[in-house]
Amino acid sequence: MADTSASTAVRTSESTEIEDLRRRSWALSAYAEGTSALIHARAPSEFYSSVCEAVVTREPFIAAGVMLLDADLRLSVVAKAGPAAAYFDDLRLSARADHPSGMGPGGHAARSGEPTYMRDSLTDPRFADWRGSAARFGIRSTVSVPFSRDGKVLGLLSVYANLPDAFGPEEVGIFSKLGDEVAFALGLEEDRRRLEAEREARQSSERRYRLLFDHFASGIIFTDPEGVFIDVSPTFCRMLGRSAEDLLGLTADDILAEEGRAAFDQAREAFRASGEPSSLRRCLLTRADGTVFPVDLSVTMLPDKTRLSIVTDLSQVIEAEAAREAVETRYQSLFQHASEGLVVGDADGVYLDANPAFCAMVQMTREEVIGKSAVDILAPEEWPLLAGTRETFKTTGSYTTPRRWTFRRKDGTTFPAEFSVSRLPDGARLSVVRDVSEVVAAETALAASEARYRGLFDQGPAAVVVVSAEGFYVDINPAGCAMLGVDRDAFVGQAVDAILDPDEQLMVSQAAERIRTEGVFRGHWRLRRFDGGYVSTEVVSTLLPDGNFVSVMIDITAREAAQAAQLNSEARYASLFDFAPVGIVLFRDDLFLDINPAGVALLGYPREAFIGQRLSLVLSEEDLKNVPRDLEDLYRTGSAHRVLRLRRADGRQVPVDIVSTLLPDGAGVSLLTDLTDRERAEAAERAAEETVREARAHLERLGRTAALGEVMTVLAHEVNQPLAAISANGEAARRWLARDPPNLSEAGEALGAIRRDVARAGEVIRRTRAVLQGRPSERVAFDLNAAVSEAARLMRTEQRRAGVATILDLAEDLPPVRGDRIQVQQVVVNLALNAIQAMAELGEPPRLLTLSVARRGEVAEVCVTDTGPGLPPGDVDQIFDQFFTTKAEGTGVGLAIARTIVTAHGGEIRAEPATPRGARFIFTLPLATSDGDAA
Amino acid sequence: MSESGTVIVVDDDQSLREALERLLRSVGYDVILFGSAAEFRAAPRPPSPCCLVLDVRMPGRSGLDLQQEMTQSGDAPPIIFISGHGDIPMTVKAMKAGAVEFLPKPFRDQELLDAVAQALVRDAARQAEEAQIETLRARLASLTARERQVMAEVVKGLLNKQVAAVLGVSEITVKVHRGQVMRKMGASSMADLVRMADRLDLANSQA
Repeated sequence: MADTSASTAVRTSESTEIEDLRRRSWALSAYAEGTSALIHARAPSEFYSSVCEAVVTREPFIAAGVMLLDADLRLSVVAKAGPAAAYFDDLRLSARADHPSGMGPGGHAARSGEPTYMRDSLTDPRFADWRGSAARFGIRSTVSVPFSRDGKVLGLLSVYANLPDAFGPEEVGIFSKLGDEVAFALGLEEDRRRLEAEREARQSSERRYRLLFDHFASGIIFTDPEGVFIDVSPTFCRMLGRSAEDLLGLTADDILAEEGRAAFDQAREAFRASGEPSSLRRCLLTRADGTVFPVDLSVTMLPDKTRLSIVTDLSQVIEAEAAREAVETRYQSLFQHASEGLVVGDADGVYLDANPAFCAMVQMTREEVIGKSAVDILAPEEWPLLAGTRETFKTTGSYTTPRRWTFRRKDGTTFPAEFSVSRLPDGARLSVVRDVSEVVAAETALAASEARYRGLFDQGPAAVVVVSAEGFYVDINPAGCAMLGVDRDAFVGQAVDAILDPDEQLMVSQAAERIRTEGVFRGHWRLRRFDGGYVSTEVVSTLLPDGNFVSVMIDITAREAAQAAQLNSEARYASLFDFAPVGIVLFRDDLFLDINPAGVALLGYPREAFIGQRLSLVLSEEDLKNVPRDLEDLYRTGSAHRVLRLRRADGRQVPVDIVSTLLPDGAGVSLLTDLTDRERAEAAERAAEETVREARAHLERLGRTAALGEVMTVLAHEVNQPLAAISANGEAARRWLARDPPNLSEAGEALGAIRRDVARAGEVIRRTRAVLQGRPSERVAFDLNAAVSEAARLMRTEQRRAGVATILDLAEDLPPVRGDRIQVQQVVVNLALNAIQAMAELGEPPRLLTLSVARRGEVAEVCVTDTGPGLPPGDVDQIFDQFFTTKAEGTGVGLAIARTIVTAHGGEIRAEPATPRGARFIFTLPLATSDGDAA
Repeated sequence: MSESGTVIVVDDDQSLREALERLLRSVGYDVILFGSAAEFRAAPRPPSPCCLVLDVRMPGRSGLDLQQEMTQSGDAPPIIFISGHGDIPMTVKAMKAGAVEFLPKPFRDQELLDAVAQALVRDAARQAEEAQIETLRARLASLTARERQVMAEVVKGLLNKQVAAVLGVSEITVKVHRGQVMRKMGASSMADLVRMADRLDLANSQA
């Protein structure tokens, strides 16, 4: 291998020096540009290309490239620049000493780690292989500088010039330095990248720990060596119901519950002494709300001497355990107290345990049961069947009884039972045994009872029908079929109405209602036989448990006929019945049993046609509605009285007074009185009354025009005004006083007003009396008997309306009296009306009004006596001071006025109690003869 | 127990007037007194609920005249008549014209208080009724002309098909309008709508 320095031509003279300086300046310039490019490069990928581009910015460098040395000693171009960069494209170089590609300056440099240069491509023998291509690109000289790290060559920087001798030893040194810079930059970059990676790794690890810290199911606490919390995880905060801020700075002592603190202290001492990881189970902590919960604690000392504690909340674990225990207890209790027999067997059917109910059933102790199996408790006849149950059990894992098994007790007696077997999770078998002896007994009893009732139903003498809730017959017994003349098959499915009269269909819902409310309905039905006849029945209906109704019916047609016959056969009644002037009908419920000739005449039906008909024959629809109530009245009180219009056979309505009586056998008898004539009379009476009313109105008009009436009207208004005010003030005063506290000033005002109004009312009365007394009234002699009779007649309407009977007791040979006839009549009418009203209000009969006229020496005396409630208690004379009557129907003349009038006539008026009850008003009038001026 | 409401007393008798005021005030009512119908008519009406206690016979206009006058102008509060000599025709006339009660003097205080309470309830109800009708009128006003036509036909009981024939539109259109009407009127059902129409006297106003 030739020494490079050996080929260096030695030059002298000035021109050589200048050449040297130029070469150096090119090299320095390339170095400066290259270094600058390295500094500004942002990433290693840019290092090589930017250095290459920086180098070729100056003549004479026409190409620069970076080649990296791989493990196979091949050199591959990673960057190139300059006008002759394409030269690299075909370049195949290596660092191998045994291959032509390693023979060039680059190969040498890469192999030796020394910079190598070639002075002239035309002459340098080492360059022979590349001479041709170098000539194409105008390449004359070149230098290759290796860059290495830690003594290992990484690659080459090769620079080509278009001049020979562009590189001398100085220049090679400069380029070699540039190569070092590249190596340095690479080193820097590598360090940076390693640091970056380290930081990345550290960060991701921290993130993981943070996640762990934040989300770990157990709480995590960091404490300093003193035990002060320096970080707490969110889970821990949640456990305690406190915030992290709240907890930081606290120690375990602040959250430990009082109980168990000693154990904690002991564990802590041990931990502090040894520094070994330690754990404490079932430690109790206190939450923010004061509740206590159990945790498991473990603590480890970290390298920096802080302590890491892991806290696991056990409350749910403990709750779950408690729940499981509770369930177990429950099942245990179920086992002990179940009414079913429970027996647990192993996989081979050998009993392991039995509950008390099972032991009781088989009359063994638990110890006796254990070790036995099914054959020991089943009757021998059942043994062959056991195989079948075993088979079922084996395939399905359970067996439920399809039948009742005969079990055997210890004493050899047997009992029927149902049982089922199921497999428990641990492979054991649980058998559930239910003793059904009672059920069987009940079933047997039921069957017997059914048979009994079936017998009653099939062979009994009473007709029985069963009706569904929807109203259809679902069954009938033979007696029923016989009674109704129908086949069972034809009957079942018919609607309930099928055997009922249209009239009775209405009563079905009533009967159903009765059954619902009272449980049973008793009554009489008249049923239609299917052959067209009728049959009377006594019926008892009730509700069956299955929702159907059952009716038991007894045919009473014959009995009724017999009763009617018996009634008829009574001779002494028969004549009465036959010859009575009033109509007589006999009936039961709503069915006519008989009618007498007078009744036939009244209603126009032949007796035969009438018997057996219903009340509806003669009653209007309106009256029919009242029949049930009337009958009820009749049954309750034994008699009833009605005035009804009955329908005759010819369709005419006839008014009839009906008095009904209940006979001992439950039938009813009604006496019918024709009111046709009476009604006619009453119509005439009404017409007469009309006339009388007109007369009375005339009298009233007369009374008013005769000044007295006028005065009364004025008086009424005048007095009413203060009265109304007094009343209102009185009530106001009461209310003001009733307040809490009482308003005395308001009450006082009201009372003052009352006093003023009383004075005012008194003034009105006085004035009116003065008017009346000073009034020149007629003074003539008149017949008091006639005047009183007329007054009585005037009040006939009122008497009748109030149901009052009037007795007129006149005096014979009474001389005339002197006075104002109308005023006297006003007094009589007023007293009589008061009496009538008093009796009407009392409402109790008898209501009797007696008007009597009598002579008492020189005076005539008029008495008005009633049977009303009598006089008010207290001073009787005071009632004449009640100067006004509020009664709407009064003529407006009150007792006070009556007294005024009587007094003005020179008479007297007084009131006294009547016997046995009621009141009597008596007034006197002087006889005309007494003054001797009768003429 | 305290009552609320205003009672207007019109009576020519001062002592009775004041007595009534005391009575009514003791129960808790506000009371306004007038000596004649003219005085009452000249004064502004108090806010509801209120009622009128009116004497039948007064100098000048009688209570019955006043009632008739107010009924005609349509702003009559409930009236309780009091009278010293009410005869039957007069009572009938007053009651027919809508009086709450006709009390002959002297009346029992409780009768008057009962009547007043009843009258005030009636007035409050009338006021509420008016407010409701007002609401319904506003809803009616929100209907378009077509919707109103549809409503008028529908409340007569016509089917959609028939309404469509009457108005000369398609059945679908009627259905849509009908839905709008129900929604705008706030009617929960057809029956509801018919009742509303009835209260608005729609049949007459539209005819």
